[in-house]
Amino acid sequence: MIRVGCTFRAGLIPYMWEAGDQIDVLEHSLDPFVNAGADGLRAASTCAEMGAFTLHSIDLTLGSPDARSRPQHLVEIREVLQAMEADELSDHLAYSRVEGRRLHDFAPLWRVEEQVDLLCGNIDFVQEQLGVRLVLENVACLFDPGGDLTASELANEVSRRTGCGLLLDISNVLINEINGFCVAADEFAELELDRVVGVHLAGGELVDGIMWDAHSSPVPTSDVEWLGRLLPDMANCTSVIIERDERLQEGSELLDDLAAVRAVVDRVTLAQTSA
Amino acid sequence: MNDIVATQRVLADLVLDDEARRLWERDPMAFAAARLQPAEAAMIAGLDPRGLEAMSRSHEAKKARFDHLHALHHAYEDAKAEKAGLAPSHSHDHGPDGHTHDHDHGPDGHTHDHDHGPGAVS
Repeated sequence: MIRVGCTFRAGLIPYMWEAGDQIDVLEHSLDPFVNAGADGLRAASTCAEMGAFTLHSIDLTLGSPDARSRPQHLVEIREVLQAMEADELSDHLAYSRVEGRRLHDFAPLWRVEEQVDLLCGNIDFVQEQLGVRLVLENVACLFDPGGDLTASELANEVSRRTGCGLLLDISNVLINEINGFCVAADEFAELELDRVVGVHLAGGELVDGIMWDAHSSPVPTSDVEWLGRLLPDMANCTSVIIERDERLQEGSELLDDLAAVRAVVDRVTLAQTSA
Repeated sequence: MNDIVATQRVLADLVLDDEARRLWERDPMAFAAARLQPAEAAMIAGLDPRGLEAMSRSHEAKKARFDHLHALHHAYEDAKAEKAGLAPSHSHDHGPDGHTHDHDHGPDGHTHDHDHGPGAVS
C-alpha cells in the first residue's frame, strides 16, 4: 500500500483537518524531540499515536566524520525512536557538520570512492547504534562538487552496501536539473527504483536565477508527472510525502497537491491490481 | 587517495568564512593548492562561485533564525524554572562553535514550527 501525506507542521493543522482522509500518513521531524527531555519524548509519543507516520531527521550528517562524534546525541535519538516505536528514520545523502562546525544547509557530497566509503561506514555505525534502518534522501544542491559517480550511482551503491532504503525526492532531482547539475531523466533512469521506499515532492522558489528547495509553493505539475512515470517501478515504495514548510498560510495549496498526488497513486495502484 | 576530511574542512571554510571565500575567488587554484593535494584542490577550485555565495548567505540567514528561536527557547525554559522556584537549570550542548544545539531549524529550510512549550508536538 502506498500512503499519501504531508509534513506535519502546526501551521498546517487547519488544512490537514480540512483534508481529512486525503492524508493517510504524516511525516514528523525528529530533531525537535531530541535532547528535549521528558517533554520531547511525550510529544514524540503523542505524534506517533496520531496515526501512520514517517520520521525525518536533518542532523545525522552522514557524509562527514561528525556522524560518529556525538554518541550522546545518538542515545537520545534512540530514546525518541523507542518512544515512537519507529523502525525507520530518514535523513540525507549529504553532510551538515564539519569538525564541530555547523552548516545550516546540506553540503553536497563529492561523488568519489573515498566519500562513499566514509558514508557507508557512518550509515553502518548509525544503523547499529539506533537499531533502525536508515532511509536516505537525495538533496538539492547550490553547487555540484562532481566526482566519478552520478548521484544515482552513489545512492544505488550506498543502498547496496548498507541495506539502507532510499527516499527519492523527485523535486530535488528536477531542481538540480534546473540549476544545471544533472539531466533528470538520466538520474531517474540510473536509480534502482526497487530500493526506493518513499518519495518526497515539494515546490521550490526561483531567486536570482537559482532554484531553491524552499518547500514554499505548490508541487509543480512536472514533478507529479514524473511520479506517475516512476511509481510503477517502485515496488517497495510505501509513502509519498508532500513537503511544505513555508507560506503555511497558503496551506490550501497543499489540498490541491494532495489531490493531484492521490490521483496518480490511485491510478498506478489500480493498474497494478488489474494487471 | 582522496582526502575527504581535508576537502570538507576547506569547503566549510569557504561557506563560513567570508575572508576565505574572498581569497578563493581571487585565485581559486592558488587558494586550493595551498591547502590540499592536487585532486582535492582541483575539485575545490572548480566550485561554482555563485552557488557557494548562495550557500553562505543562506547559512547566515538560517543561523540568525536558529539563534533567535534558540534564545526564545532558553528564555522560556528559564521562566519555567523560575516559576517552579528553581534556579535556571536549562542547559544544552552548544558544541565547539556555540551553535550545535539540537533543536535544529536546519539545512534544508525546515522550520518545524515547534514552540518548545508544554506538550508541543511539532
